[in-house]
Amino acid sequence: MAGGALSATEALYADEAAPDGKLAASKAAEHFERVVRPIFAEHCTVCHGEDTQEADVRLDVPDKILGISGAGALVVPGDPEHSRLIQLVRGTAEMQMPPDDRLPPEAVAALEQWVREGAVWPGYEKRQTPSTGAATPSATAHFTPEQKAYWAFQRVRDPSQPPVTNAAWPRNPIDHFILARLEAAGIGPSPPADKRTLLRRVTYDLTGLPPTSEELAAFIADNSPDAFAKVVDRLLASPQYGEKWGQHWLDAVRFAESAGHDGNNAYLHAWRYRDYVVRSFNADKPYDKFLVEQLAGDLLPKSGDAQQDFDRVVATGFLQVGPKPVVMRDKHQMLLEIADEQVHTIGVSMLGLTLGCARCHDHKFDPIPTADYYSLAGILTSTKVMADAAPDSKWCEKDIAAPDGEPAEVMTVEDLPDPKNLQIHLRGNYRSLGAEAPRRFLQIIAGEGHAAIQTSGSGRLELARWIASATNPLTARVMVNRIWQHHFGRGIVATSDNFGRVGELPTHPDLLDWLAARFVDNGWSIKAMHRLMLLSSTYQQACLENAASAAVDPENHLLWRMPRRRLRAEEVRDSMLAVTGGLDRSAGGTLFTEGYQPGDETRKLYVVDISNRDPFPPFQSARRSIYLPILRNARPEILKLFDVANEQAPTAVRGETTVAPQALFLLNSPFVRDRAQDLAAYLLSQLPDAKPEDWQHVAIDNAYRAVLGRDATAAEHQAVMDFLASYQEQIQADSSPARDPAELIKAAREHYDQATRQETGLLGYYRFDGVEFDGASQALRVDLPPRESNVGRSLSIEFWMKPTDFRTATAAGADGPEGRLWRMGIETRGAGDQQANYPFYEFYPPNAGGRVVVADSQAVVRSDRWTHVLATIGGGRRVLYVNGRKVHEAETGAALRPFNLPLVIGARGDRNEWFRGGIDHVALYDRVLDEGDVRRRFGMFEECHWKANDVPELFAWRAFCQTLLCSNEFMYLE
Amino acid sequence: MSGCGFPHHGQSDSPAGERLSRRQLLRSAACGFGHVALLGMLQNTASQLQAAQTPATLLGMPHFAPRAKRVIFLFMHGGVSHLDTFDPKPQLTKMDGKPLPFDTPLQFNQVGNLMRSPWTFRQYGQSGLPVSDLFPHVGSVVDDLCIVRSMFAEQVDHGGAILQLHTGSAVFPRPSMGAWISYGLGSENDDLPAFVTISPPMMHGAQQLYGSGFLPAAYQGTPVGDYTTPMKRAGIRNLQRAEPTDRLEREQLDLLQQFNRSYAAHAPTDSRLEARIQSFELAFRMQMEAPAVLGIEEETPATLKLYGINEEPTDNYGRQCLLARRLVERGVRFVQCSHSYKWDQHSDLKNGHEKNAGEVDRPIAALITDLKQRGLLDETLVIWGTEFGRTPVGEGNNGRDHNPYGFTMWMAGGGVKGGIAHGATDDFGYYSVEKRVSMYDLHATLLYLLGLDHTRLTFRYSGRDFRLTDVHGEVVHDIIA
Repeated sequence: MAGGALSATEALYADEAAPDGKLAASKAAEHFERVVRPIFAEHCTVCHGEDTQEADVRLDVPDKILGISGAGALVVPGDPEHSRLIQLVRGTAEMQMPPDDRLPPEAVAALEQWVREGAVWPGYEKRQTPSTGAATPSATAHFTPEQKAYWAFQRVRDPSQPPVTNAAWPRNPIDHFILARLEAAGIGPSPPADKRTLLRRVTYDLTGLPPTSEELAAFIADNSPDAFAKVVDRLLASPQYGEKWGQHWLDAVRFAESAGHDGNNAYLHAWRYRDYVVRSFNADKPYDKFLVEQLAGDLLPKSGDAQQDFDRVVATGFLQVGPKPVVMRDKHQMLLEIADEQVHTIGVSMLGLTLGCARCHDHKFDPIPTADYYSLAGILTSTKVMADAAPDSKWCEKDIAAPDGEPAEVMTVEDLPDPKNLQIHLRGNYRSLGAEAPRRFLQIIAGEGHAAIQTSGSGRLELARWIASATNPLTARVMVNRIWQHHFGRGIVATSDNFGRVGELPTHPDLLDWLAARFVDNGWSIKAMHRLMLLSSTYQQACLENAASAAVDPENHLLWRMPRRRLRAEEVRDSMLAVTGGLDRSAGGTLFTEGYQPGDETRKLYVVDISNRDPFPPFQSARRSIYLPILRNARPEILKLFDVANEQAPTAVRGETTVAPQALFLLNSPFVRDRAQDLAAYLLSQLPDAKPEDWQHVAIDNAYRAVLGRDATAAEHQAVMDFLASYQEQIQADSSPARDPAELIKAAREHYDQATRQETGLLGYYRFDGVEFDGASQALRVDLPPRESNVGRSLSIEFWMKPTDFRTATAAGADGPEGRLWRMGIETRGAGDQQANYPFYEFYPPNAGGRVVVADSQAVVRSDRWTHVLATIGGGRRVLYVNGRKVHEAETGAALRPFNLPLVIGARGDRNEWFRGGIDHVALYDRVLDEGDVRRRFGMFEECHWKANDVPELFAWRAFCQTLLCSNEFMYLE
Repeated sequence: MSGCGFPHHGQSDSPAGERLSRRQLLRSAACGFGHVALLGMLQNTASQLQAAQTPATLLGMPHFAPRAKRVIFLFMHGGVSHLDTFDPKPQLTKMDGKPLPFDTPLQFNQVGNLMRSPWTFRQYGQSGLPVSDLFPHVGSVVDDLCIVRSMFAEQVDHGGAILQLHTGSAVFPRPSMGAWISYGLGSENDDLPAFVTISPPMMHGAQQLYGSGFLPAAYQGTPVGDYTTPMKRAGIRNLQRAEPTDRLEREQLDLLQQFNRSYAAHAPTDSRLEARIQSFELAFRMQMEAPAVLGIEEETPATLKLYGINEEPTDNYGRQCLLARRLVERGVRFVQCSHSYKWDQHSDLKNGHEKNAGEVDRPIAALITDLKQRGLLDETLVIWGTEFGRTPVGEGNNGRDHNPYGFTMWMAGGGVKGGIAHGATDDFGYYSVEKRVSMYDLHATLLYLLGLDHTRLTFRYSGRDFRLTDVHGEVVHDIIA
C-alpha cells in the first residue's frame, strides 16, 4: 500500500519539488499512512466519516480536508497554527475535538507534523484549487452531438405554410398551421364566436378591461368585413393596452417596488421603470431595442431625444427591481446573490433557460456548464448595482433630468471602472475558486470556447446585443410564444419560461418558427404579432363543447376551440371597479407616496410599512391594479387571492386556483360589497322620480348590461324579481332578522369605528353611541392635544347628525373665546310642510367664504334618519358633502392657519345655537378627503345605521348586483 | 438562491391529458381548500401540472407512514435564552464574571463577561431532565419533551433567523413550512383551512411567515387576529357574514348558484365551473362552522382554568393554546401560536424573561396535558422554538445578545421520544457542538414525522423545482420514537 502511494505522490509533486523533495514526500506519505490515518480512524471518523459527517466534516477522504481552501479550510498545508484541525485538537478554538476526550499529546504532535510537512495525503491529486475530487470545471465546454442537436438551440427556420383541405377556413397562415394539425387528427375547428363573445374576449386580452355597452353596440352595428380589424386597431391604440401587456412583462421580470427582505426597503422610484414598460408597449417599441435598453440602456450613446435618453436610463431598472438581500452581513455574498438573481431573471425572461441552475454545478438537464454561468455573472458583477456596503445596503439611484426638464430620481446601474472575470465558484462557494470564466455568452449557442467579449466595460451591452440578435435561436421564439400564450391560454411551448429539456416540447414547432421569423421580419413589432394572431380564424373560434374533438384531443392542444379563461387577478379588481363606475383610469405616476417609514434619511432609505396590509393607503386607490404599489410579501388581498404573480422571481404562467377564501372575499369583503352597493345605488338613481311600471325590469337589464354586457333572459328576470321580493319582504318583516337589530347596529358601529381609526390623517375621533344632545345645556368641549390642533393647510371634518327639531344649531366647531376657525350645523328654512333643516358650513379665515347654507332638497338633514356630513378645505377649495354627495363646492382664497382651539360639539363655543338630537362619530383629518373617500365612508355609514325600514330596496339590489359580480359568467371569458 | 433540487416526479407517468371526471372533482372538492385548488390547476397550468401530480399532493397522501398528523408550533419571538431555560451550564455559573475563554463571532453589541443564569434549574419527572424555574409547569410535563439542545443557525438578526425558521431561507422568502405541509397533506376538515396561524407577528417577515410564496394562495396560513390584537377580539378575515341574516345570505347564494349552474350547463366538461360552485358552498359552511371553533365558551371551566384563561398573565396565550387544541382536534394540519415579539432581552433579562415565561408556561403545559388526556398527543407534534438563543456573556449590565450558534428547541408527542435531551452546546452554551441540528434538519425531521420526504416535496416555480430544505437537511433519526 505504501509503495503504491509513494509512486503517486512522486508523480504529483515531481514538477514542484526539488530533487530531494521526492524523498521528503515519500517520508511524509509514510508518516500519513502509519500515524495520521490511524488517528483519524480511531478518534474522528465515527462522527466525521463515511456514515455521518457532522458539521459536514469528513476525515476519511482527502477532498473533505484538503479540498477546501480559504476561510472554511480545516488544514492549511505547511501552517499548523492556521489550520483549524490543529486548533480544534489542541483545544485552542472555541470548542475542542474530539469533544469528549482530548487526543493524547503525541497524537496532536503527529498531526502538527503532518500539516507542517505539507499535509500529504497519498493518492490525492493536489491542485491549486482542488474541488470535490471531480474534475475542475473547465471554462471551455465540450457538448455532445445530442446536446447540440436540441431543437431550441437550432436557428429559427422559416417553414412554409402547410396545405389544408378546408381552404375556406384559414384567414392567414397561422390558420394553415393549426388546421393542418387538426385535419391530420381527423377533427376540425369550431364555428366563429358571436360578436359579443369575441369583443369581450379581445377587449380583455388587449386591455384587461371589459368593453363598454357603447363599444359593443358599435361593433354589432358594424357589418363591414374589417369590423373586427378596426376593433383590434382601436384597442391596440388605447392607452390601456400598455397597462395590460406591460403587466405581462412585469410578471416576467419579477417587478416589484421593495427589496423583499427583512425591513422590505422601499424602491420609491421603481415606478418609473413600470411606466417605461407601459410606455414602450404603447409605443410598440421594437422588442430587440426594448431588451437592449433594459440590459444596457445606460451604455447606449446619447441620442439627443430627451425622452429616449431618459428612457434608456430608466430601462436599466430591469436589473434593479428584483428582490435583494440588503441586510445580508457578508456583502460579497450579497453581491453574488444579486447577480445570481439577475442571471436567473435574464435567463427565464429573455431566453427561456434556467441559467441559475448552473451556479453550483453544470446544469443537470441543459447544456449550460457552470463556466457559462460565471461568464454571465461576471458581466453582472462588473456592473455597479449597489451604492454602498452599509449593513442595510442601498442600491444605485441617480438624479437625472426627466424629458420635461424636471429632476427625476431613477434606479439604474453603471459599469464598474475595473470589470473583472469571475473564477468559477466550486459548489457555488466563493471561497473555493476554480478556473477563470471569461465574460462571454452561452457556449451551446455561441460556440464551444468562443472568444471572450472584447471590451473595456462590463460586457453588458455586448450581452444585450447578443440576446437581442435576430440569429439568437431563443429570443424571438420565447417572445412570440409569450404573446401566443396570453392570447390562446397556453404557449406553443407550454413552459414559456423553460425551453430546456425539463420544459415541454412545442405543440406546433413549425408555427413557432414561422411566427418567430415573422416577428423579426416585422422589425420585432409586438403589435404586428397581435394583429396576426387576433385576425386569424383560430382566435375567432367559439368556445364550444365538442365530444368528438375532445375524445381526440381532450386538452385542446391542437386548438379545435378557444379555451375558456378566468379573469386574471388585476382583471377581477379592475373590472369590478369599471362595471360599477368607480374605476379611475388615470395613467402613470406613483401612488407609493405614503406607507413607508424612514430607515436612514441621509441615504434616502425607506422601509415599507406592511404591518397592516389592506388599510395600506395606496391600496385604497381606485386606479388600475398595475398602479398599486407592488410590494414584496404585501400584495392587496384581492390580487393575492386571485393568483397574482409572485414577485420573488420571474413568473411566466400564473396559477389559477379556485378556493373557498376567494368565495369568502367575494361574499363578505368591503371591497366587493362597496362595488355592489355603488352599482345598486347607480341603478336606482338612474330611474326617473315617477317610476314606470316596469322599472324593475329596466333596472335588471341595466345591471346585466353593465356587468355582463347583455340583457337578462326571461328566466333571469323572473329569478331576480323573486329574489328582490323575498329579500325586501324579509328585511321589512320585523321578525325576520335572526339577530337582534340592536346587536347588528352595535357590530356595525364597531366596524366603522375600526375603519375610522385606520384612516390616513386622522387627527381626532369622538363617538357618542347614539346619545342625544338636549339642545339646552349639553355640549362637549375637547381641548385638542397640541399635535392634533396644529393643522396646516388641509382639513376635513366629518360627523353624523340626526336633529330632533327645527332650529338653527351648531353641531360642531373649532370655536373658543380665543377665536374660531370653522363651524358646521343646520339652519331651518321654510315653513309648514316646506320647513326643513339644511346643512351649513363656515370657515373664518379671511377670504374663506364664511357661512354657506345649502338649501337644496338633496341636502335636507332629516329628523327621522342619520345624515352624514363631511366638509373639506384645502388646495384652494372648500367642499361640502351630504350623504356622500357633493352639494357645494367653491374656490377659497385662504389657507387654513395653524390653530389651537378647542373642539366644541353640541353648541357654539359662546354657548349659543344649542343642537338638539344625535351627533356622532365626529372625525377630523389633516387632509382633504376626495370623493372616493367620502363615498366609501358614507357607504359604511349606511351600514352602521342600518334599520330594516330605511333601505330595504337598496340592500336587495345590492345583494343582487353582488351575485352578478360573483358569477362565473363575469369571472370567465370565452 | 443557492442551489436547486431536481427530483424527477416532474416527468410524470400518469397521463397528463386525462381529464378528471366531474364526480372525481366533486369528491376532491369536498376535501377542503387545497384540493379544489390543485384540481383547478390540473386543468389549466401545464407547468404546475407536473408539480401537482406528486402523489402526495394529488391524493393528500404522505410518502410513507406518518408518525404525526398535525403540528402545533409554539413560536417564542425574540430569542429565548437556552441558558436560562432548558440548557443548564454549571461552568457558566462557576465562571460568572470572568471572560469567555475563546473568541466569538462578531455580534451586534460589545459584550461583556460571562453571566450566570439568575434562575435555578431543577430536575423533573422520571427522566430527571433539568428545567429552570422560569418554566415550572413545562417542567411538570418534561417526560413528554424531546429537548434539542444542539440547534444552530447562522443568521444573527431577527429577520433572517425568523425567515429561515419559518421558510427555510434567510435570503429570499419562500413558502412557509405550514404552507408546504398543507400543500403536501391537504386538510383533514372540509370546513376549515389546513394552516392557521394565531396572533402572527407583523414584523420580521410578517406575512411571509405564513405566506404561500410561490405555492398557490390556497396554502397560505389563515391568520386569526395578529399579535397586536388581544385574543378575546381576534377573528378571521371575511368570515363574518355580510348579509343581515343567514337566510338572506343563503337566498343570495342560491341566486348566484342558479346563475352559475345555468352557465355551467353549456360547458359540462369544464370542471372549474363546478369547482367554483362548490367553493362558494364551502365558504358558506366555513362561515357557519368556523366561528364556533373560535368560540371557546363551550369549554368546561376546568379546561379554561387549566390554560389560565380569564386570569392574568396567562389569558392571552392560554386562549391561543386552547384554540390550537380545538383546531387540531378538528383536523387542521398546522397551527402556529406566536408569542410575539417579547423575548429579545438585550437588557433586563431577569424581569423580561420572567414576565414572558409567566405568560406562556402554564398554557404550554396545559396544552401538552390536554392533548395527552384527549389521546391527541400521539399524533400531534408540538414544537416549541425560537429564532435563536442568547449569549452566555452579558450585554450591558444585565442582558444577553443574540446567539444563533447554539440554542434550544423542544418537541413533544407526534412520534418523538419523550424525556430526552438531544445534542449539546459547549460548556458555556455558545456553540452547538454535539449532534448538531440545523434549521434544515429540523424541517426535514418535521416533514418526516408527517410522512413526507423532504427531498420529494417539491414545487416547480420560475423554471425550477424548489424544496423547503433547498438542497440541505438530514432527518434527525435519533429523536424519533
